[in-house]
This record gives sequence, C-alpha cells and structure tokens, in this order.
Amino acid sequence: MAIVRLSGPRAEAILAQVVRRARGEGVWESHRLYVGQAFSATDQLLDEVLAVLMKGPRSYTREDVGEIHCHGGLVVPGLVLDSCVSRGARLATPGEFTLRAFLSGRIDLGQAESVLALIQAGSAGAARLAAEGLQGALSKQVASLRKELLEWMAFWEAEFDFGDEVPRMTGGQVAGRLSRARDALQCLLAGALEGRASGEGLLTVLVGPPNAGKSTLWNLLLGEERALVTAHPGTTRDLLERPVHFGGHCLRLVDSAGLRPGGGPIERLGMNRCRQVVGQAEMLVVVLDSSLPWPRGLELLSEASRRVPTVVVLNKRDLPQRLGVRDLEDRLHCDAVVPTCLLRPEEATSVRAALLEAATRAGAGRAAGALSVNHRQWQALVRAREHLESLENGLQEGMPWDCLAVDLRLAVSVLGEITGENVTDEVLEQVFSTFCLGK
Amino acid sequence: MGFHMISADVVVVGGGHAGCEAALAAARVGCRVLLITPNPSQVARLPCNPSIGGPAKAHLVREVDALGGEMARAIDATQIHIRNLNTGKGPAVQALRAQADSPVYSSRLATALSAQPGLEVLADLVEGLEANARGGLSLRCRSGRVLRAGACVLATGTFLGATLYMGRLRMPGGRSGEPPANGLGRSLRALGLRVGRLKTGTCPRIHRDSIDFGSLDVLPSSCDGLAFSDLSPLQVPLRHVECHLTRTTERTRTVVLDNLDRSPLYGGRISGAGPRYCPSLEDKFVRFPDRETHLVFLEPEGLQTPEVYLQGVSTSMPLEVQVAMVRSLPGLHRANLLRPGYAVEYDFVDPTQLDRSLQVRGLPGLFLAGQINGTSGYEEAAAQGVLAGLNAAHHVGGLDPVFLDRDQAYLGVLVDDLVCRGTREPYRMHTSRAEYRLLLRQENADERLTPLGRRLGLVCAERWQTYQERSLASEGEVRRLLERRVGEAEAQSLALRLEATVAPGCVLADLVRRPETSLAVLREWEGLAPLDPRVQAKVEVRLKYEGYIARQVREVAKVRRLEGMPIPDGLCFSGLAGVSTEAAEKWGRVRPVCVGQAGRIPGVSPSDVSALLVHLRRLQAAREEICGGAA
Repeated sequence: MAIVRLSGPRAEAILAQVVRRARGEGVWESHRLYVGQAFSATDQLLDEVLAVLMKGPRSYTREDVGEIHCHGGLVVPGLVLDSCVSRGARLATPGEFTLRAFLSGRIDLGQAESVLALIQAGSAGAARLAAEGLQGALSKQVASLRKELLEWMAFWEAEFDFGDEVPRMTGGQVAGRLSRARDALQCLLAGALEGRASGEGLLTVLVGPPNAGKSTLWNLLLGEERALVTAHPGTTRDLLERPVHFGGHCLRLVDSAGLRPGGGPIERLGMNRCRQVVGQAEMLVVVLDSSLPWPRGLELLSEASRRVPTVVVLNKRDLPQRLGVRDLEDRLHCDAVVPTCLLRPEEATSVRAALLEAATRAGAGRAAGALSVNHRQWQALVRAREHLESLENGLQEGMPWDCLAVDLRLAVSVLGEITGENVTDEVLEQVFSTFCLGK
Repeated sequence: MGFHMISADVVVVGGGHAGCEAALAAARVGCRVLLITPNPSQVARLPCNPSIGGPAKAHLVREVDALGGEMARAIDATQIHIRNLNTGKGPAVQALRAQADSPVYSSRLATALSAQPGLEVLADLVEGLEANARGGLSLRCRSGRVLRAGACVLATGTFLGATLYMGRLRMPGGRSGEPPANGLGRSLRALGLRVGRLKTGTCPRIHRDSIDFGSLDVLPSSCDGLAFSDLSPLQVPLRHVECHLTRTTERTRTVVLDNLDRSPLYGGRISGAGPRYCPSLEDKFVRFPDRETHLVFLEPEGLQTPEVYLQGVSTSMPLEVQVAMVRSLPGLHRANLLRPGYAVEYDFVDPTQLDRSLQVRGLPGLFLAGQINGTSGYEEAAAQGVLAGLNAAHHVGGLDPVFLDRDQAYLGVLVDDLVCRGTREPYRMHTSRAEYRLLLRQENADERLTPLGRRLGLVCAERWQTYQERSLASEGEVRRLLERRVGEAEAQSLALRLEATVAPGCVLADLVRRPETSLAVLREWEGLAPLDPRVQAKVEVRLKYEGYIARQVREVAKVRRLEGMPIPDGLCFSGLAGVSTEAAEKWGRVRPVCVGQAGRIPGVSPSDVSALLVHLRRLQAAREEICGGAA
C-alpha cells in the first residue's frame, strides 16, 4: 500500500480529476472513503484505488486534504503522483505537510518536531518513540513540570507584589519544590537520553589533548580508516561526524581537534570548533595519553563532564604510566575509566562496552519511558536543568528571592519553548486565582 | 464673534496626577501650556487610598522623579507615614510606600503648577474636541471659550461618561459630588475612537474620634530617613502618624452575604470590568469563601482632617449596610461613617489605538494619559503624564517622539503593555509584569532615566549635578573596593569584625559580595566616614547582585535581536500564509512596529509569529535580490 496525499485549496479539484469513483456523482463528501480508479493525464487506467477527501479545517493541515490509497512499490505510486502533478499539484518539500499543520496552528512546535522525527526515523524503535511524542508524552511531562514551577513562581510573585497579604513561603517549602522539580527534570532527561540513543543518535564527542589517540579510537569504533592518523600532534583540525550503531543504540560520533594551549591559527580554529561541539555534546569520550602527566587546556571538560555521561579512555598503557585514575579526581566527573592500548584493535571492544553502559545507565536508571526528543528539545531540557542548578547555588549562597526568580522564570520559559507559551500572563492569572489580593 | 478664543502650544485637559505631570513636563521643555480643570484648587487629589508607592508603583514614582517630575518631591514633602517594603526580599522588589497628608498633597501640586513658568491653569469644563483641517486641535468649553492647541493631552481620569453607584442609588458623576464629562466622551466617539467601560471603587472614611484604638494592632512608620526623590533630604519628618490594623469577622461576612442582592455589582447593575487586585469586600467573600478573615488597614487622611480611610473595605453597598459592615469590625463598633464607599463606572479609550508615544494613531497631536487609557493608580497616571506631556511638546516642536523600552523603565513596560495588549480590567503595575525586573530597580531609576531627561530638557541643573555627583561617588567606591587588598594582619582583624573567614589577599569587593556583609561595617572597620546612603545602596547592589544583573543584560541583548526586527509600515497582515485570522485582525488593529511586540499581543500564537517571521524573511530576501540585481 502507498498513500498519495494532496493538501491545499485545489486538493479537491485535482483529486476529482485523477480518481473516478465507482459510484456516486457530484460533490465529494468529506471524510468518506470512496472506491474508484485512478487515471493518468492521458486517460490511461493506472490502478484500483481508495480515495478520501478531508475538507479543511478538519484535516491534518487544516487545508483541504485529498488522499489516494493505491498499490505499493515504486511504479504505481509514482504514476499516480505524476498524474496529480500534471493536473497542477507540486511535490511537497520534506516535512511540508507538518510545516503547514504547524503554520495553521493545528499542532504545536513539539508535536511538529515529533512528526518530522517520525518521517526521518530509521529504526522501528525510533518510530514508536516518535509516535508517543506525537500524542504528547513529552509535551505532557514537560507541561506538568512547568505547571509546578509556575505555581511556585506565583507564590513568589504574590509575595513580591502583595507582601503582607499572602502566606509566606518557608525555606523548607522552597527546598521541597526545588528538589521535586529537579527530580522530575532528571526523569525527563533520562527518558530523553534513552530516546536519543535509539533515535537520531546521541551526539558523542571524542575529545582530549593532541596525539592522545582520538582519531585512532574513532576509526576503530567505526571499523574503517576515515580519519587521518599520524604521530604528529594536531593532525585533526576539523570535526568529523559519523553515526555508529551497536547494541540497538545509535551514537553520532564526532572526532575533534586536540585541545592544548597555543597552536597555530588553523589549529586554534579547530580547537574553537571543538569547544563549541563539547557545549552541545550529549556524551563525552575523553581520550588521554596515560604516558604523560595531566595536560593543560582541558579546563572546559570539568564542567561539561558533570553535565553529560563521560567515559575516560586512558590510552597507551603499554608505555610507562604517568597518569592514573587518581589524577582524574577533581578534574573530571567520569562514569567509567577504561585503561587501554588502542594500537591493538581488539581493545576497542572494552571501550565500546563502556560507552554502551554509560549511555544506557544514564538513560535507564529512572526513565519512566524513553522519550522522543530532537536536539532542540534536548537542549531546552538541559538549559532548564542548568537554571534549576543555578537557582540552587543562589539559594545556598543566600541570594534574595527576587534574584533566584530570574532563574525560575528562565526555567519556565525554556520549558515553554518546547510547547510554546508566554510566561507573564500565566503567572498573573495564577497569582489572582490562588490568592485573595487587594486591600 | 460671540466667543472668546485662546491659543496655546499644548492644552492639558484634567488636573489629576496625569494632567499635572503632563502640563509640567510640556512647560519644562519650553511650551506654552494651558491646563483646564473645573476646580483649580482641587488638583492632584487622592480620592481612593491616601498613599503613594508600593511594589512597582514606587518604581514608577522614582522614574517620574528621574525625569524631573513632581510626584516624588510632593509625597516626600507631605508624607505622614512611610515604610520600605520587601526589605528582606532583594534589590528588585524593595519599594517605598508612604501616606500623604491628602489635602496638603493637593495644595502642594497646585503651588507647583502656579510656580511653573509658561503654564497657566484655567477653570473650565471641556465639552467638545475637534481636529482642525490644517493640523492642531480645537476644544470647546462650557463657558463658551474655544481653545486652539498644537497638541492636546487628555487626562480625564474616571470622568468620561461616568456613573456613581451605591446600593440602588445611581447618579451621573466622576467622583463624589463632581459631574461627569459627557460632551467630551461624545466627541471622542465622533472622532472614531473605540471606547470601553471599566469600574473601580473606593472605601468608606470614618471619624478618627469614633475608633477604639486600644484594641487594634499598630503599624508604626519607619524610623529611618526615607525619600522617593533624589532631591529630597533623607530626614525623618517631625510628625508621623500610626496606621492600625483590624480584621473582618464572621459578623462582617454575614452582613455582606445577606445583602448581596443590594450590591450593584451582584445585582447586575454594573457591567464594566473591575480590577482583580482591588476587589470589593463583596468580591472577597464571594470568590474566596474558604478564607476566614480579610485584613482592614486604618489610614489617616491627614493631620488636619479627622477622616480615616478603611483600606480593604472597597464597597458599593447601601449606606445602612456599609454602617453595619464597618461596625462589625473589632475596634470600630462605634464608628462614625463620614463618607461612604461607592463604585464608579466610566469610559476608557482602548489603548491599542495609541502608539508608544501615547499619541492616538491617525489623530496627530492628540495624546492620552492616565485612567482614560484603562490604567488604575496615581503612580501609573503620573508616569504616563510625563511621557504624554513631553511627546505633546515634541509634536508641537516638530521633534521625534520619545519611546521607552521594556528593559529601560516600568514606564516602558506600562506603555508597551497598553498599546500592544490593551486591557480588560483597570491596569495596575506589578513587578512581575517586568521581565527584566532586576534591571529596573528603585535605586537605579536615576541611572536609567536622568541622562535621558537631561538631554530632553526635563531635568534641572540641580538634579543633574546631584546625579553626576552620586554616579562619580558610587563608581569611585566600586573601583576602590575592587582594588583594595586585605593584608595578612588585616584579614584576622576583619574576620573578627565580620565573624566570618577572610582570606588574606582578597579584595574588599569580594567581602561586599557576600550577602551577609554590609559595606557600612567594612567602612567603619577601615575608619572611613559612612557613605551617603543612596550611594551606598548603589555600590552594594552593584557588587552583591553583579552576576544576576549581568545575566539579565545578556538576556536583553538576546531578545533585542528578535524584538528589533522591524515590521514594515503598512504591511497588510490579512492573507499572509500561515497567519490565523485572529492574529491578522489583531495585528491590523494594533499595528505592532516590531516582531517582539507582535508576539506579545494576546490571541497571537507562536505559530503566527513564526509565519510572520517567514514572511518578513521572504520580503527581505526579495529586497536583497532586487538590490543585488541593480548592482
């Protein structure tokens, strides 16, 4: 089976020209499935088909939509498509139906992106996740977390603007709300991480000082010689990205330029790109040369490793050792450390296992279920977590609540980006419906 | 000719807070200004509560002051009770609130008007307004006078088509005992303006001597010297009064609920929308049945008047019910009601018909300020008055209009909200309406607006000099604290003094950044004289909240990119692919000038904004293609 879909003001006219119904003359009834035959532009019979017209706005795009259900394969649907085009239709650009549905307000941004993920989903598991996203599993969880935060905001805002008329929040209540919100967000992130691993793929960045063996590892994991490997530090200057599948998971593996202080202009350009991609990474693989002491230039990894699952590969264990697990403490937050010698290809297996475990453990631990998220949604969730963390820091430093409210508002608005909502009005609504205000 | 003709650069209609500030601002920048009010001895009255300030409202007063306005100095000179609210909650929401000696406040403003060169006050009632064919406006007065003006500011408060309600009584009037302005309302409709209806109310006043103070909680005034204006001294005035607090009882509830059918609000006689933040007592009992008691504040109206205002008992019940309600309150069982509460319903002009200079779109030279725009509050009115008066003067002088941004002033937030969102209830300012609240602080209003006010000619030499001195002093102190290192021996002595650890080699600024350390204590330890409290506040806020403030500054820069994407003048929104009919209709009406504004209009969804963006990008691409082709 294949479906040819038409959307737009002329959908009905084109449908009526291509398909002749077995029974029934005159107007097409909306949302009724007709049996009929499809004809080419030169009036040749193409196929026995089912056809349906869905008048806007009761359709996916809110425009008039026509569908022709014909036999599958490459030939028949192609001919039906040609016939439509010759009668004035044009081919849709990728995701255009969803774009139209989004532009007509039929679906929100979160749903639209789920549909696009569905279209692009390579594996069956990813398709299931995308279908759940469409029904709003992600939107629902985000919305409920956001609602909690909005309530909290309303308490603070009411206190700011109507001080003596509302009950004060205690420090304990603030701490309780914060920890509930952080747990909920952690849960969402875990689900999202698992979803990413089986969908579009986790953005996994290989990073470390020059000449530690990043490109060697990259080639080993991909099973091909794609990156140039030499004994000269700074060989890799641009980012290389490739998807790699193992154990039902998908990783988007990125090889990056080695980080070190100094370097020539081109090398520095490469290092800048590396820093950018580390900021976006969903998993880090830090490759270090264990025959050398802790290198300089890796400061940014200390913060990044706390944010995402991190596997440290201690390469060159065949040489005299000058860097051990102890040296990593305080510098990196590692989920796993793998001492290895990448000169021996069979050693890549242990790295692979560690990667797999880090990705699943981070995802599976508390996930209520895997969630289909794209990169934009993932970034929004991560930013929401950063805002809550910064709120927590401020709370510990004894910052006043109007400062902390900056982070709270940002967390709410970042979560709102996933579904698309305005903060100020909602807070005021919440304030007025919760409290009896006004002297 | 049988009538008397007068002309002026700017005519201001109305002598309330908006009218006074508008007239003063226009005169300060050099216009010949005429202010028309039926009763020139009764300007800038406080017909509702006798207080000024509070969160967000105090911020507006500070902004009026920074732009050279009168309100802050007037309240400083006439206050009989003042407090700084939210002191424990941080720099953005701290707010002064003061009680005015109400009759004295009013006469202080009358004096300010008469002292202003170029400003004349005329006793009359405007009954009609017309746009002249060759520009300018004509106003017809009850006395037969006709006024011709290059620009006009209407600040008529609640007087347009106004009706007063109390129980079953219903009478035309904009304020107790004062007639409405119906003729002017008719001419606004004739000019094609959309007009809506709003409601507000006030509380009863009782006689001071009929109160049993012994049984009431006391709310004392602050013992610190506090002031709104940058030009006022920080002294505790000679005479402060106390306010008192009481609470509604079960008996109050019974009285209110038993008589609900006699309230015009619940009897269906008032259709206008009232403010949610200032509900009548009837509303409070009906909407929050679970709440056992509501607070009632007793606020004296002045030193020479026996009237005490009952904050919290806004009502429009019949007189005998009001008496029963008031006497059900502890301490007030013998209360003698001097003036009853009442509700007023009035016309307002839908503010989405204005541009950001508060000028009516399509009627050049006509500016509106205050409750006529759907706002509520003396402070909101005064702030709009400054902007409208200034822009009226700019219109007359052929200068560009002045706009304020949302990250610059509460006044910017206020105007942007009004002109792009409109309002369905009397609009009151809240700090939560300002998304960049940490940047719009009470203490930095001068830094935000005084340089602008100086350029515009609103700020006098004295204020400018004060501003420069304080800026220099605070910057100098910040620099000093950043450079002054703590030596080995000093660290120990400091640690003792602060009861906290102090690392040798740190700078004093590091210590000020700690929430618990005060700059005053540090300076005392150093043997330095205390700083001017206003300078000290600036230095402390700047160091203690540096990180948060910097983040909001970055936020602003990020949003500005979208905010700043201009929408071409005259773009036709209907028929844009992907834009909902509702959004197209709203945009057509409000005419947003940039994408940021377009997104803030209620009823507009993010997908409408995306579609608009797509369209604007397409337009831009088309334009670039044409340019490219020509080159």
